[in-house]
Amino acid sequence: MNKTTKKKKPWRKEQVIALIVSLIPLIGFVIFNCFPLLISFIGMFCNVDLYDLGNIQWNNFEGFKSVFIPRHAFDLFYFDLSKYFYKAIVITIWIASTQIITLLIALFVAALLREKFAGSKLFQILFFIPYICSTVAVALMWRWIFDWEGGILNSILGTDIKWLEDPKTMTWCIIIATIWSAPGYGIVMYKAAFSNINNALYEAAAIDGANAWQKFRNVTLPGISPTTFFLLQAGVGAGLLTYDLAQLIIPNAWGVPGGNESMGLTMMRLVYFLITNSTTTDANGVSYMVSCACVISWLLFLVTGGISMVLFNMREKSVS
Amino acid sequence: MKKKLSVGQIFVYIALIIYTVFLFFPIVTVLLTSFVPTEELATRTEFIWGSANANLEAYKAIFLNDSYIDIVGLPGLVLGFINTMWLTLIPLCVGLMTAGLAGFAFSKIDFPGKEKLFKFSVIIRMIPLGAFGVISYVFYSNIGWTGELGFLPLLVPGMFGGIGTMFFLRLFFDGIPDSLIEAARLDGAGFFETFFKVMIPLAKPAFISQFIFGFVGGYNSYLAPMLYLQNQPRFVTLQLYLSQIRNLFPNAGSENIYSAAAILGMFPLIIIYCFMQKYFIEGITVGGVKE
Repeated sequence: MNKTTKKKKPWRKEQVIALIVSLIPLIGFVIFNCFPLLISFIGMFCNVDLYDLGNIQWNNFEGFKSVFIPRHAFDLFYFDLSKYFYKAIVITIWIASTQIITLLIALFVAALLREKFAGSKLFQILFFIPYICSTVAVALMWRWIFDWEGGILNSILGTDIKWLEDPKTMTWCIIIATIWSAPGYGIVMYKAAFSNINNALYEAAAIDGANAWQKFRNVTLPGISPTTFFLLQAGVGAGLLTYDLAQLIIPNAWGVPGGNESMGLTMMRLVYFLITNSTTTDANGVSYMVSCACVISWLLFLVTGGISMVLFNMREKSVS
Repeated sequence: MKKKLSVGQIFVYIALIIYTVFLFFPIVTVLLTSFVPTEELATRTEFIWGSANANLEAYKAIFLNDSYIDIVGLPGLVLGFINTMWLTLIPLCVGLMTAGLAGFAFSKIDFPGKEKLFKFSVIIRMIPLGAFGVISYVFYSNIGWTGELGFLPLLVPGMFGGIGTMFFLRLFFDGIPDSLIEAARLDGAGFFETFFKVMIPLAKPAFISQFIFGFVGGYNSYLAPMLYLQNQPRFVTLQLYLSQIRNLFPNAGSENIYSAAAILGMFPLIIIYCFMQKYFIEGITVGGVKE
């Protein structure tokens, strides 16, 4: 409380309004974030009914067991969850790790655009377009490019590969589409970071006889590292939560989440699959599946939260 | 007066042109295919670069032969566009107002409990909650906001105003001199009048960038409509419609229709972007950082 305000002074009308309006976003947060969090937390340990919250039953860690212990889930809902869970971990980390490529492309292109030259503005405008294209349209485009018969890729390369059906290439289809659409954001951020580096530092380095690489290593890299950590934080977070592009490019196949051999299965897709499943009609089985989905969601939350905290701290350090 | 290009500059141009080709070849590919007649696509053996009989049948099919017309009386693309607009604009505009009011209160008014509330907001804002995007379904289905009411989870939460948006606007308000608020107060303006007549006009760029950030997000949003509105043809959104296009036109050689749908889905935003690219880049990058 403001110390200059006398305690006995009644609140002004304006202060009451200010208190109320400042509470609105917080109320929204409590209702639409805290309650789902709470329910999914309970759902990890209990069977929660999708339509009747009063019906909560302790499930003896069956959710955890089904997720982690191989074949355990099969007795509960005829679906070997842990097999898919471990697969999804691999695929999700794989997809998230390619954020590094996105970052390098963004850095490289931003470096090329650093100096103003004829057309540099136009390139910058063009390079941002993929970022505003919807993932659904992006998926339609790339599915057509990767099409087995009549797709442009096979025609140009003269190959006969089923890019979208072959488990060896499926994941790459998702990754290429992601790399296509993502760097626009990083390009703009890096360009802004470049312009914030003090030119005097370069001049000082030049006087010291530094070559181009040394200038980059000692002046540019430290100057852009807060941006790098921020982009990593955002990119890895988004990568670990990949849903749209993976689901749209490699749809589920015949009750198998994530397409052939589940090579397009991400953690978010697995959660989605469990929530909207149709592999079991048994109400009890559905509850167990929801419980598993809660476990995976919380796990994912802890991982993304942890990584984001580490990168945030690294960024704070790099600023000072 | 012609300046000669240096080797370095030529390298820069070549690299940039290669990247431009990489970025635009998918868009050009679908653009080319969208004009190819269905019968040629149905019997294709390899990619058709162009056709002597190029026509607009794919675009016509989307507007005239769509099975949505039988169910809801409108082509799915048009209905999807209308639904996307109100499902995006209502929560966005209301949310900008609530977030703006809260930001105004935090920035310019001393009220009891302000510091504590602010600290609390700072903490919860740091938590990345994206992982709960799907599991929230359990909450919404329990309060009955699924099925026929499946539009509510898309509509209502945004109206409370995002905490990140609130912080962003507050920071902008901090830069507005207190003397202007005092002057408005002396003129007898109350809290809301000050906000609408003084703060909003002065903070217009901040509101515009947040608006564009939210609009692009809403226009392209797919997961939430998929989760809550998938089986509600009346509430189909643009992205939901595009994702269903393969099932709506399952015949062989319909790739021209898929391509035309992708083009029609993307182009409104790209055209707006071309006219307002400065605001877009600002809004999305600054709005994304929100600091």
